[in-house]
Amino acid sequence: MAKRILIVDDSKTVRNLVAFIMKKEGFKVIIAEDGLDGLEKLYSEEKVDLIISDINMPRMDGFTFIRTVREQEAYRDVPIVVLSTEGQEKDIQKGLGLGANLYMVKPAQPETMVKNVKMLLG
Amino acid sequence: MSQEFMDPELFADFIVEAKEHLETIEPNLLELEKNPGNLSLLNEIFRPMHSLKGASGFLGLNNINGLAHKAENILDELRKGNMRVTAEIMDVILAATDGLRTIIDSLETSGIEGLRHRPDHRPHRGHPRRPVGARTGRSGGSRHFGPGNTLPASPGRSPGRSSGRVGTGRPRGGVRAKPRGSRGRRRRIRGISAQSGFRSHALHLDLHRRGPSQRLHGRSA
Repeated sequence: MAKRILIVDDSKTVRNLVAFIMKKEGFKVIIAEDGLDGLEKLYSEEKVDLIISDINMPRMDGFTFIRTVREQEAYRDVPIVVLSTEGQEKDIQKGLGLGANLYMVKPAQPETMVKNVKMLLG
Repeated sequence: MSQEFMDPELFADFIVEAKEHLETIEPNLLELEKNPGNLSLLNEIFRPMHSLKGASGFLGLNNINGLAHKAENILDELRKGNMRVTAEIMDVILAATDGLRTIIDSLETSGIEGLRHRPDHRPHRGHPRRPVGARTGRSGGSRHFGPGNTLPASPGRSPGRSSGRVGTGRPRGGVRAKPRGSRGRRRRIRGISAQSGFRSHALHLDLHRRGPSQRLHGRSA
């Protein structure tokens, strides 16, 4: 059964590009437009195997989103990949500190994204 | 693998998204000019500029990405209170926004990520027109938007490597001179142009060769 990846990004271009890349690898993708939408999708889906999230988003940013996800027992172990243009050390440390497994700075190469997603999915 | 990502639909989506961002940025900029102390307006401008930077970077549109990045840097300095909103700064941001609009229109209509020649565009001394791919360092040379992929340089407004001449390269130092014709450009800020043939067939996206720009940061499980 195809693994399910939740993509959270306020940019349609980025969402579509990441979705395009992941679909090509056989993953099923779920799209969310910001952190709040991400939570709604996460709660409504039967299962999410991995989350790829932006940081700078309206309504709910990626940091809050990650924190909220990690606060819940059911999602403590879901791998989270941050994909953000925010590449300062403080942002990276904050993201990882809140529970992200990997922090990638945009733009990231598709091959590397796929490789890391596969690695995190075991 | 890179060939797999040459998807014209992604570019079409980007054009739509980029125009939406500009539609948000432009009226807020004009409002900011009237109310320079309104920080919430700055945030309303910063976010779409940030998104524009991120999306263009992902598609390897380095000229748009570079200019949006520089505009974002100025906006960030304004947000933080490190710089004040002055008429000169507004001119620079408006010129950058107008430049972005021009590049995006050009990308849509001709498949070329560049500034079309206009009477008030003059190549900057020491920066003759040159192909995008001819730039040194990490460049957009791996992209191919058709045979006419050139970026006419312009004084103080060309995107890409030389776009620091917009004045954004030294945000703390202020701007020495008003961008040429910026008042006129402000008046020319316009709405979304009519959809014109997006030459998707001419677009090729090569993310594979874009260069060592990415960074990875992980933690042990």
